[in-house]
Amino acid sequence: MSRATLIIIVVVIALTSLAGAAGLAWLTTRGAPRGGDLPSQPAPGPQARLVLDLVDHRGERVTAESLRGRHALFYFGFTYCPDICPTELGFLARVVRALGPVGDELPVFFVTVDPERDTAELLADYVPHFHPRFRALRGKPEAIQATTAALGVVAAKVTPAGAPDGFYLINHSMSIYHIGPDGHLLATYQSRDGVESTVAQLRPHLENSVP
Amino acid sequence: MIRLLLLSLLTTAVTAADSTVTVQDPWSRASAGAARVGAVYAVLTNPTDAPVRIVSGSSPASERVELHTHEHLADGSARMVEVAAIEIPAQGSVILKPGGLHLMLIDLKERLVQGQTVSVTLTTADGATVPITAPIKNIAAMGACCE
Repeated sequence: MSRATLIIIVVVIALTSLAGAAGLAWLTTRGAPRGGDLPSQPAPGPQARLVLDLVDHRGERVTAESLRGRHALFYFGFTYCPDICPTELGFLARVVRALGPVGDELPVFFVTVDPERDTAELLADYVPHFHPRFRALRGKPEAIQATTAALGVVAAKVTPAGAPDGFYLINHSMSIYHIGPDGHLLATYQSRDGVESTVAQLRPHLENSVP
Repeated sequence: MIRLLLLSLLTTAVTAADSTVTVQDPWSRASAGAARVGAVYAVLTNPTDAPVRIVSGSSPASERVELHTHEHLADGSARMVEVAAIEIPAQGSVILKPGGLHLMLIDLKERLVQGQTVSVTLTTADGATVPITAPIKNIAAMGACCE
């Protein structure tokens, strides 16, 4: 590790701890979750099972039943998310490309946790930029909440200080959720593990599955 | 002629206030549809022998510019956190990159369009400015760090 890198890391850690205190104040005083329609959920048990009844950005209904017998990946986010979501979707696209032919039939879904602002038109103009096969899913807040609750996905609405009227962001889980052919949560992946490691974790599941 | 003179005066004034901080590989991402937020990334280098603190930013493209990073929570979620300042160590650099420190454009006035550029001016604690002109890349771009 170079000295410059070390300095940067130290600075980032220092800033983060500084920001931690500030951020706590920010959360409690200015950005407290407004207890909106997408509250936080506890972590899922080992037997977390997919609950799904949503519509993709082309208007096709997708349910847990319609995915039965197939592997599928899910990421939860929102298009107003300026940094993390494009970063994670870009990561997911690189994972799918790195999988090669075994990933060709793998459905990959971006589930919006912000159905209020993420219209079907907006989603249709968003997900294909990352990968032509990615599908965005939306639905009524209760339907999305049923899915996030079942998988233990966190999604909490926050309003930054001094933000314009009606402006908010959503703190949310960054994991990629892998649902197996039987509808159970098989694994979760994190972008910090890198493309190669994620592909190495994912590939055996796909190769062992009976077509 | 007068306008030219004024312009050159103005330019001189801006140049005089410019910080010695240098900017490498600035870039931004195209914004999604009607989304009113954007992010700008770059490598900021401080060639001097004293640390420099970036304390604010502004842009003609948005109502506000905030200095942000991410905090990873125990439940596996992440939240963006505003930082009071970005300190660039003496003779060192700070990397603004996806998933880490970044400049957040809040309440965009116009969509950020791939192929165009977006300007941001950072201000240091001593009032000097750091102009950034960031090319807008594809929404799925990850920058030199991560591609």
